[in-house]
Amino acid sequence: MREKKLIAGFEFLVIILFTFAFSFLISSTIVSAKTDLSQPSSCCEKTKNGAFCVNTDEKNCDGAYKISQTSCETTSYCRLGTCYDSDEGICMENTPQNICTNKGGTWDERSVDEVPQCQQGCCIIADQAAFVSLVRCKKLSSFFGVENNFRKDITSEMACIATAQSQDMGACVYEKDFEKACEFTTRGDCGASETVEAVNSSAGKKFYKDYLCSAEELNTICARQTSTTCYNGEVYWTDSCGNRENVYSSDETKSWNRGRVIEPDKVCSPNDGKNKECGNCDYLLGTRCAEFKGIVGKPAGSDFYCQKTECVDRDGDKRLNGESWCVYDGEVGNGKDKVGSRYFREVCVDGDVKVEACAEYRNEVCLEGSIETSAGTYGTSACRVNRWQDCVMQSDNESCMNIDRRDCLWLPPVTGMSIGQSSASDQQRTGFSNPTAGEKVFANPTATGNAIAPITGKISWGGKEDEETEKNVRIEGVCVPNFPPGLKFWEEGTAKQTCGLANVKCIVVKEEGLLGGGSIKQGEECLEESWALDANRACAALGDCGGYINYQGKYTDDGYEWKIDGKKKDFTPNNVNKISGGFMGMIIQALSDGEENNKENQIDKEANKTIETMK
Amino acid sequence: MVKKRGQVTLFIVLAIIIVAVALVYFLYVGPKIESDSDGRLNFEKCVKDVAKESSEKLGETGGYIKPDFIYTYRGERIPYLCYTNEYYKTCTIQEPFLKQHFETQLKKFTEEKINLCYENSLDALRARGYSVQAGKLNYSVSLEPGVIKINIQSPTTIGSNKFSKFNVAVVSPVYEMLMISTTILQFETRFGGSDVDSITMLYPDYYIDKIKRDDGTTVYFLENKIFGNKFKFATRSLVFPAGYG
Repeated sequence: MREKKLIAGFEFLVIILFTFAFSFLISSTIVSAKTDLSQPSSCCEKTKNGAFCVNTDEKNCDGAYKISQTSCETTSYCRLGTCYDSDEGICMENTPQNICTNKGGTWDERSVDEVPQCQQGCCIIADQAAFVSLVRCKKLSSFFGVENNFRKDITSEMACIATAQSQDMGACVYEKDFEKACEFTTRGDCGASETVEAVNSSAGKKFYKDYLCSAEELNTICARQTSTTCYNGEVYWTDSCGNRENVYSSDETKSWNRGRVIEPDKVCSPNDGKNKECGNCDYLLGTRCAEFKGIVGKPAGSDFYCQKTECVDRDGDKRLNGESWCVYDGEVGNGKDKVGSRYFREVCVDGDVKVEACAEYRNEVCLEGSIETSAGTYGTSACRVNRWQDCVMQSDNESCMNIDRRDCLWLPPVTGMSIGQSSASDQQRTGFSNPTAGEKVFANPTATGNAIAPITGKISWGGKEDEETEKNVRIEGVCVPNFPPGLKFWEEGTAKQTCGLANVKCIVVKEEGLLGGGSIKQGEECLEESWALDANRACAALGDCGGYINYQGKYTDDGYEWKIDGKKKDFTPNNVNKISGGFMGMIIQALSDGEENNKENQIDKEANKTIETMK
Repeated sequence: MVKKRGQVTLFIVLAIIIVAVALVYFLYVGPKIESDSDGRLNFEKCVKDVAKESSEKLGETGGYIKPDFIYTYRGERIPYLCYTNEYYKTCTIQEPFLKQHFETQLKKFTEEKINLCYENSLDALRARGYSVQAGKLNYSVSLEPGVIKINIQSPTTIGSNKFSKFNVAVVSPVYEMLMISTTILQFETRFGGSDVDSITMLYPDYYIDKIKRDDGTTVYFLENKIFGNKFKFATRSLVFPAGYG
């Protein structure tokens, strides 16, 4: 009896201890969960690695600086705005308040366009122009020792440059050491008390529009055409006083033009590099002024000439200076970009080919254009953002192929596949679409084969998951990126989810006969390898998914899983060759709408009939 | 008669040797003509050399003596001048006034060496018997188009001559490089990138290169074709993740 009491007491103690232990475990779990929740991103004024104003975990913040458990935009010290440097007259956007004020700048929360000190205008410095703020203009003018000429009324950079170029140029004549000195400059820079159009000079500073300093009528100390110089990429004669004259030509008389200013094109035709005796270099013809360094063939009377700076591209074609073009790792576009490939552009700069990579993971693509010139086609190119992000959300051909908004590709429908379409967004998780079936929703089809939707873009038949909730939705096609993005498929992350959008299951409905045997009523095409090939084609177009080749041409098949009734299947060598060749011979665009609708109607009727039979 | 002829020949040979030696001395070795202003000239040259060398070194590390927040590219420590750790956002300026920052860093970087230049030039003058009295050396560094200006103030008495100011100007493209970098940063903060081709067209004396790395960092390299000065910096702006991020 006493023994029983002891056992009962011990059990009671164990229960109490267990209760406490359990409560402790529960509470600690809750506490730890709370801790996790109570660690939102903080704003570090400075991080341990030295970055200013970064939203990150508090543990990364430098303790000597401010930390707030909020976004940097809402803090006083890291609020972004425009920082104005009153010394140089420069405005910097996206500058944190503290950094700006600590460095002696003036911070303004408004954008750069709204800050009065940052309002840009045209700063004219002799015959040059800069589209800058007033303070910057003053600074530049002081550097070059000219009077500040800031035109607030000119509101665009192009107009500013045009204004500077359209300024009157001429000879500014003045007395110096009892001699007639001269400067070839603008009317404003000359600052002459009067402008003289006729050459009857008297004492004082005078401006002679369109006259060269060496004009005989001016009777200055400057002798004509003593040397040459580079100006604006062209070769110009200079007089003995160092003033620029007209564009260089070995025909000195023509170039001098009786001491008057003359347009370069009237001196000699734009030089494509073939004529050393003409200084009218043309950037679009691939020439620009350079010092002549050879011994033989030096232009008469000039140390400079129009140098042809050509490059040769990878195909062995000649490219002009400044020309740019795209370079690819293989076939691009049409959803065929290879795994690991990237877009590049190359530029011809002074005889060298400069390579510029577009953003990694094909987040940028390279686009080409061209300008027709007298010397032929002048290539241009640019890296621009790849707008693939919302392709899978498009459910019709028109919006998918709207090139003004996105870079997508409309592929023919694949039985059972509905990539991320808005109406079928839930189906990504629980359902699937089957264009061979009608819009009518059915449940629990007594299918001989059903589809499973595992991750990583696997294609499979067989299994019994979620059959009760599955719905068939008819779609016209699938919208995929035209330039598939790169994915970090080797890391844990979103690659599996992205590729998983192309998961597809196809229901094959079989009608059993009374005396055995039977016939397939729905989804027969899913038993063909061509179906799996189409599904893989759409899958590969989503990004680095499915079975496809990398940029070195190596094919890998671990990006897909194709099962029939749980049995794994692989593509035949013939189809692997097809894939390796960039999906050779496969249809890219969907059928026209009319044809498609007719086809669907027929399928609908058949499907209904099949379902009924099945039931 | 034969003896006399031999002597003449010997004299001629000797004369040729003397002329040759003299020519070699004057043309190649060169005589050192010392003047009173030697100390000052040496000091200026020393300061110029220090400023030139230091500005070149600073340019390699984006204007920082010891860059703090860096991107390592092929073993080089390249500072971020504009950075965001987030996706889809343009970068936040890390150093708004590049020119002023470079001036401050250059002053700090050259302080010890310029003081040494000063001490050495004074010692050289003392060694030559001059009575030298020197005060504390103070100087400022300012960058202007095409030139680094170093204005030194030091009350110095050499014999009966008194000096208090030395102005040294070093031809350098640093100012232009900093302004080009500022333009690039303005583009980065506004558009998340920059059009290097257009900038190259505007500044044909510079090689401007940008290299995009897989983490979204862009490394910029500027090089002056004439002087060979370099300026390197990194940005991370408007980065898109791989896939949906």
